Amino acid sequence: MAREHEPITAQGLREYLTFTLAEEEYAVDILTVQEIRGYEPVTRIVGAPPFIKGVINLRGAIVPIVDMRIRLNLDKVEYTQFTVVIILAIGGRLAGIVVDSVRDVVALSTEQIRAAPEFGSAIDIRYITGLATLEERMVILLDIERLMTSNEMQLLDELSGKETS
Amino acid sequence: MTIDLAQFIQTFLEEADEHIATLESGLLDFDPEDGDPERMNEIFRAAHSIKGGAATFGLGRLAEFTHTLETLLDRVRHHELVLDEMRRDACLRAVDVLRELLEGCRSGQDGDVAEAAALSQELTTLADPDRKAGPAEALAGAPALGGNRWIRIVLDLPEAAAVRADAWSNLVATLSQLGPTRADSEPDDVRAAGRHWIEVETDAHLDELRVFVDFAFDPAWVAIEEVASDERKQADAGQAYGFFDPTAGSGGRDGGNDEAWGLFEPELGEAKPPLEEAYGLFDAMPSSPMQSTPPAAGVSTTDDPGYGFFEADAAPVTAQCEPETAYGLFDASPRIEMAPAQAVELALPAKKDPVVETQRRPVAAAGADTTSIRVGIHKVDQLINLVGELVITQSMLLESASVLDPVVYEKLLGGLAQLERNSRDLQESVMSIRMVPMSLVFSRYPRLLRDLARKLGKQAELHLVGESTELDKGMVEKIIDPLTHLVRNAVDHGLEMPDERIAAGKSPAGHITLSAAHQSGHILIEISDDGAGLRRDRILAKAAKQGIATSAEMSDSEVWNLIFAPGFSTAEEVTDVSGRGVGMDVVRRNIQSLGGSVEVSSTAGFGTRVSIRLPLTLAILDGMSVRAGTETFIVPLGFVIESLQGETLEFSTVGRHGKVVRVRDRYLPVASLGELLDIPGSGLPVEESVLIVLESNGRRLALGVDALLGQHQVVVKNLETNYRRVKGISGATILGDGRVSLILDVGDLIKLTQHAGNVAAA
Repeated sequence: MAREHEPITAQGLREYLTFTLAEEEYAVDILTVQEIRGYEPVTRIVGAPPFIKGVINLRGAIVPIVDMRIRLNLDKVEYTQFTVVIILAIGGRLAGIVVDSVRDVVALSTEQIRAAPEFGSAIDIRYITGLATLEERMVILLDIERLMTSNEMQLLDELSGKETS
Repeated sequence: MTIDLAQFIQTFLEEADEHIATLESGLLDFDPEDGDPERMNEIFRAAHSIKGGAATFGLGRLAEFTHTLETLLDRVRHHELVLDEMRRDACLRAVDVLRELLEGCRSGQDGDVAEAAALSQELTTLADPDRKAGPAEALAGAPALGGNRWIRIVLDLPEAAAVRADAWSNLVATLSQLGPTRADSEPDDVRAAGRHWIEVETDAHLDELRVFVDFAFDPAWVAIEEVASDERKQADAGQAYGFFDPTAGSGGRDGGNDEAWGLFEPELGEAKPPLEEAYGLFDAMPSSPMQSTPPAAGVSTTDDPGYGFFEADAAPVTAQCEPETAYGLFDASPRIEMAPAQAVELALPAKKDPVVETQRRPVAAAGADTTSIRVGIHKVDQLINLVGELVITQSMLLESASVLDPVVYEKLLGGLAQLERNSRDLQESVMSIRMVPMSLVFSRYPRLLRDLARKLGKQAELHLVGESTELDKGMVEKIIDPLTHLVRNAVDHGLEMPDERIAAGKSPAGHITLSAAHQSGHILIEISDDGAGLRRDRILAKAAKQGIATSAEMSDSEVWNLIFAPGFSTAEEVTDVSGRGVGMDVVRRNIQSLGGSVEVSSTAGFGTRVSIRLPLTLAILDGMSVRAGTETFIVPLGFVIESLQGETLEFSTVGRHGKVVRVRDRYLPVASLGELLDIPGSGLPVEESVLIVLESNGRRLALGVDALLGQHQVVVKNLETNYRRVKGISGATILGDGRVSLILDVGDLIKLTQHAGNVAAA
């Protein structure tokens, strides 16, 4: 899916929201983020895969919630006071992702982003835009649009899912 | 600056739909005996507006076709034709063609409908029954009217008109051969712009004169008219009206009719052409009235009392036509076109009092006013959503505040109570935006009934009750098909032939009543007929023949319910009206999908009544909340037949997995909601759970749930907005505490159990 947003800072920098999942730090384009809220109990959906926790009422909209920790097969899945839900607005649809905690908003230039090597990450290389180094920490940049609209996510009906993946 | 017409076309098409509806209902209601002029004007205006819009947007076919219809209606409006059955029929068919044409326009092309041409021809013939005789009569009538008479040729030369120097003198010379002439201008002056006239006393026909004149001058500049002898003295007064567009001289095509016009003041003849030119598309419509008028008009000349009024009035009104045409978009023209109409009527002593005629105009103008605005439905839906949120927030606040000490927090609690009232009021008003009166649905049935009854050789009268009852717009669109089917059924199967009815001691015309009423948060729509009623024996026999389980002890209502079974039809023969047996089950399915229910009651010999209960809006559903494990689900109440305690019932197994329960001598498949939807923590066996008997598509299921929680109206939210479709779930709603609850899709659940059964059997 093509990037539809232009960089928002003057020096060709793009802003990212970073969050942690277990020991790893991930980043998503901040323009896809609608809001961040605490985790609240969801309503389970029949027949959904385990990483789809269910749906919540977001001011009248019914929004599905994906637990990224389950999606990425992390061992430790617990809900603490720091557990947050990032509500993403992608392609006019809303979805929430559960992450351990939100860290920061960072601006990265394209030079700071390196291609991701073929490695045994929990997440398919297809959904990773690249890697960046921030104060000696490695940040994995997620292609969140592609990830959320992929068929594996099962957030879309089969037909509409195929068009985007 | 260019204006993108495309955005207006949509508006035009929407408006055209409304105009067509007005046309249709107007045509059906119009009583030629009584002939309420305002009614007829309304019909005419509708046709006229469609034509005007179509012409503006370059939809030529539509404009042309509407014009022929309009011509006919115009003549009816002027009491020159009677809207008899034949004409009414043709007009109604024209309405159908209009619809098709519009449909074509909607899909982007100015569509050609095969029927249009033929019907257009028919309308023209109907509009002008004596058309063929017309010109002949005129030819014969002209000399008879008085042998030699003065004919005036008026020349309106525009600036910079190229005129041959000798044109005028040649014309005068030619005319002199016909009879004595008089001219107002010397040959040399005639080359200058302005108005010139020449009169000749002759018995020649106007058309003959025209040939001479056209030879010398551009026909657009020329007007030829007859001057009544006693009027000739006043002729000069005509020049006072020189402010007409000089190019608007009467076209050659109305030459034949000009004699009639000529009986009036000469200006009249001139007043007419600009009107026609204004629409360019049409031929001489207003002239047609004149063919019937000459004898009467001959009586009324200058001393007609109404005449003075007209003279003063018609000219300014006509003059307005020019600016009107410039815009084309607007609908002001019917008012203006009435000016010549009045002229005709005023001139005929037999017609109504002129004062009455003039008063009609302001009324027409007032009728064109609208007090509504067009708003996109998504805006309204957004508003409804937001208000729904507000109500939920408000109820959450109220709940949190319920623990507070009422003495300490008196003001806060008072404010909350006020907020509750206000938000309820707000919700109600916002919901009412989507509401439209049932008359929108009902209005199509008089036509349907009339056509059907004719086709079947029956007589039927339709009574509409409660047309002002309001219903959600989305619902209205979906209720039309089922209702249409039921109305067809009522005429086809319900009503007997007139002779049978007389034999049964009833009036030959059958009565069908369509009624709508609000009833405890629902809308109740009933279709009743006073026909033969359902035949219990025939239904039972038919059901048995089709392998539907029946028994002689079935109650009447159970028997009537059989007609909703798929493939059921008792009609002895299949007609193109009904009887294919695809109807009633579809009707019921459609109504259920709207969250409603349908019931039949019937008494042999006295008729049948079908009652449809619908929720007031699609956005709100009557639901029963049930618990399975720790989860709460909503079952749409429309599908619920009854609920029973599992302990009191007799269960048996069929094979290894199938389980049935006996409810009133019927074995129903049983399934537990917890098992079906794989809900953790709902281990209650069906024998101990509460059973809800559900029915969809004629199949029943006893669904075991842990507990019944209550019954509410819930706001339906689409799950697919942000997620995907889920089997067994039709949507979601937000409960009073802000949590999401899923709404069960009963039809899906029943399929799921059958599927599970099949898998288990395999």
